[in-house]
Amino acid sequence: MRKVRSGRKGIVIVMLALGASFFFGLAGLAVDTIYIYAVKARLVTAVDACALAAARSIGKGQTEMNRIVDMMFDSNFPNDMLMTISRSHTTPVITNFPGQGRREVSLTGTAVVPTLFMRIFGWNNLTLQASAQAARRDVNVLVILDRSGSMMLAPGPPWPQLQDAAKFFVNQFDTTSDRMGLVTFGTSARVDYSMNYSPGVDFKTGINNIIDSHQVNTANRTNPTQGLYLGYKELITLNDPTALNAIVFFTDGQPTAFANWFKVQTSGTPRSTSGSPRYGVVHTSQDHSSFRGLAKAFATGIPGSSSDIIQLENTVWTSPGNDVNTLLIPAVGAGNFYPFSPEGVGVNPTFSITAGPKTVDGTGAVFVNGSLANRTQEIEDIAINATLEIGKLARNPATLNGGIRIYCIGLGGWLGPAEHGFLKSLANTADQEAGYPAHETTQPEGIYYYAPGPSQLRQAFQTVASEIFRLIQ
Amino acid sequence: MFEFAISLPFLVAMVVGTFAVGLMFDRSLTQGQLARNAANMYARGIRFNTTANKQLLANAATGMNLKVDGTGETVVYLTALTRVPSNANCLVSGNTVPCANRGLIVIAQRFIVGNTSVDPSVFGDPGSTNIDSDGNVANYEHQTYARATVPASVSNATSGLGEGEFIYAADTHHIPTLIRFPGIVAPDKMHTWAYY
Repeated sequence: MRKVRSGRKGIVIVMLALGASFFFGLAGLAVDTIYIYAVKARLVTAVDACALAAARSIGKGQTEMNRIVDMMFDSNFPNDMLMTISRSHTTPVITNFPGQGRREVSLTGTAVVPTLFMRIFGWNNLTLQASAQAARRDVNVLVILDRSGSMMLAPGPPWPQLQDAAKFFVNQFDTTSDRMGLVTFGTSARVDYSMNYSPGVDFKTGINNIIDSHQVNTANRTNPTQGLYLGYKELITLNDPTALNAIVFFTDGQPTAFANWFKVQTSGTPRSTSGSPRYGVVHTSQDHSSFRGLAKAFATGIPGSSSDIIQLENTVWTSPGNDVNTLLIPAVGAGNFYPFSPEGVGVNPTFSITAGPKTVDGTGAVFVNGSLANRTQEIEDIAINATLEIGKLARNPATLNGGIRIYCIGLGGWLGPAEHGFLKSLANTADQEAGYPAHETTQPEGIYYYAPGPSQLRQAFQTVASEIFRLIQ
Repeated sequence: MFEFAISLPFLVAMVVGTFAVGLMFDRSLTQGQLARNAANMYARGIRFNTTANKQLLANAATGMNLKVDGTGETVVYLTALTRVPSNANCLVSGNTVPCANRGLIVIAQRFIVGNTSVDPSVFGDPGSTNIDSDGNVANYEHQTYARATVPASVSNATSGLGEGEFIYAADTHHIPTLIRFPGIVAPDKMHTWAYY
C-alpha cells in the first residue's frame, strides 16, 4: 500500500501543471478574443459614423465628403487606440437607386491589432474589418425668401446677408438627385426657380444667380400667404412622394399683405372695367396706418430695384388715407372677399381666412365700415390665418406620403420683427405660443429658428440644413 | 491534497478574476454600445428633452443603472458641436460686433440623461442656466461658456470640423460599483464616447 502511494507521489503536480497550461492557454485565448472583440466594436462604431456622415455630406462633393469621413474616423478611432498597429478606411462609395428616391453610401474600415497570447501559435497580429452602409433619401427643398422693404430698411441691412446665407444653404445639397426651387415674396410673390425638372440639373448655379440678381425696393410689403401657396404648389406639382419634401420659409416681419379674389364694383365711381371678382393684393402702408389695393399679385420678372407694388389694371388706385372705396368693394354688404382661393373662386384648394388664431370678420364688412385701425389689422390677421391654413394642408400626412415638413427662420426685424407664434405654428413645433393652435401631433414637426440679427442668418440656415440631413439619413 | 490546497487560492483567484474581468468587459461593451446608440439617434434627429426619448437610452443601458430622473450610476451627455464661422458677427447690446468665438469649436446644443454627479462631460459644460428647454445653448457664437474641448481631429482648422458644420457626440460616464470584488482592482469610473 505504501509502495503504491509513494508511486503516485507528484501526480497532483503533474496534473496541476497540465491543467494550468490548459487553463492559462484558455485564458490567453479568452483575453485575445476579448481584446479583438473590443477593437472590432470600436471599428464598427467608427465606420458606422463615417457612413452616416458621408450620407449627410453627399451634396458637398467628393473632396469635402472625404475630409468629413476622415475626421469622423479619426475622432472615433484615434491612432494607437486600443494598441492597434494601424487603421484605415476606404473611400466612401455612393450607389444610386433610380426611381426609389434614395442613395446608399458604403465604406469599410480596417484595423491591424497585435495578439497577446495567440502569437504562441504564430499569429503575431490580426487584421479586422468592418463595413457600414447608410441610406440617404433624396430631398426636394423649396426655399421661400422674404424680399420685403424692411430687408433693406433695417439697420444692416439684412438683405445682403440673407443672400449669403441662402446661397450657403443651397450649396449643401446635391444636384445629382436632390431638387430645389425658389420662391420670393414682397407685395407679390413669384416662383423664381421652378423645381419641376428631372434630377441632375445644376440648380445651385441657377438659384444662386437668381438670388444674386434680386434687388429689394424699400416699398415692398410682406405677402407670405401667396409665397407659401406658390411653394406648396411647386411641391404638389412635382409630386415626388419617395423623397423628403420640405419648405424652408424665411421672413423678417409680420405679414402686411395678402392676395385674394375680391368683389369689386362694376358701376359707379370708382369702378372696375374688368368685371368682378378680381384677384389682387391689398396691403398696409409701411407704418400700418392705412391700406390700399389692388396691386398685381404676380411679379412678371425677377424683381429689380423698382417697387413691386404695381396697380392692377382697371382698378382705381388711391392715395393712402383716402381708402374708403379703394378696394372697389360695394359700399354696403357682406361677403366682399372670398376664402383664400388662389386657383379661382370656388376652385379647390380653398383656405379659410377666418379659421385660425386671429379673429377676423369674414364678411369683409370691416374693410368697408370698420375703423382704419381695424382694417389694417384685418389685413395682417387674414394673412396669418390663411398662411397657417396653407401650412396645415401642406403638413397633412396625406400630402406627399407623410406631409411636407416646414422649417421657419425668423429675423429680428425692423418695426415689427418676426412673430414667434406665427412661425412656430407654421413649422408645427412642439412648443407653441399662447394664442396659437396646439402642436399637431399627427403632422410632421419642423423647427423654428430665430435669428436676432442678420449675422445669425448663416447659422440659422445651417441649422435647418443639418436638421434636413439628419432626417434623410 | 497538500498541493491542491496550495494551488486552490490561485485557481479561485483565476476564476474570480476571469469572472470580474468578464463582467467589466461586458460593462465596457454595453457602455460603448450606449454611446454609439446615443450619438447615432442624436445625429438622426432625436432630441433627448422628453422623458420618453430619455427612456430609450435608459433601456439600452442594461445593467448600468442609467435613470431618467437624474439619479443612478451613469450619465450620458449629448452634444452638438459646431465651428463658429470666422466672419461671424454677433448682436451684443444692440450692436453688431465680431463674435468672440470666431473660428472656435463650441457647444451649440446639449442634452443630459442620467446623474451628472458621476462625471462632467469631456467636451465642457455651458452651464444649465445657459441651456434652454430645447437643449440650445444661448449665444454660443459669442459666450466663452460655450467653448468646447475637443481632440485635434475635430479642432484642426483644415482637416477638422468646417465652419458652420455640425458633429453630434455622446460621452458616457459610469461608476461600475456592481462589479467590484474584494481585492480585485476595478476602475473607479469608466467613460467612452462616440461622434456621429
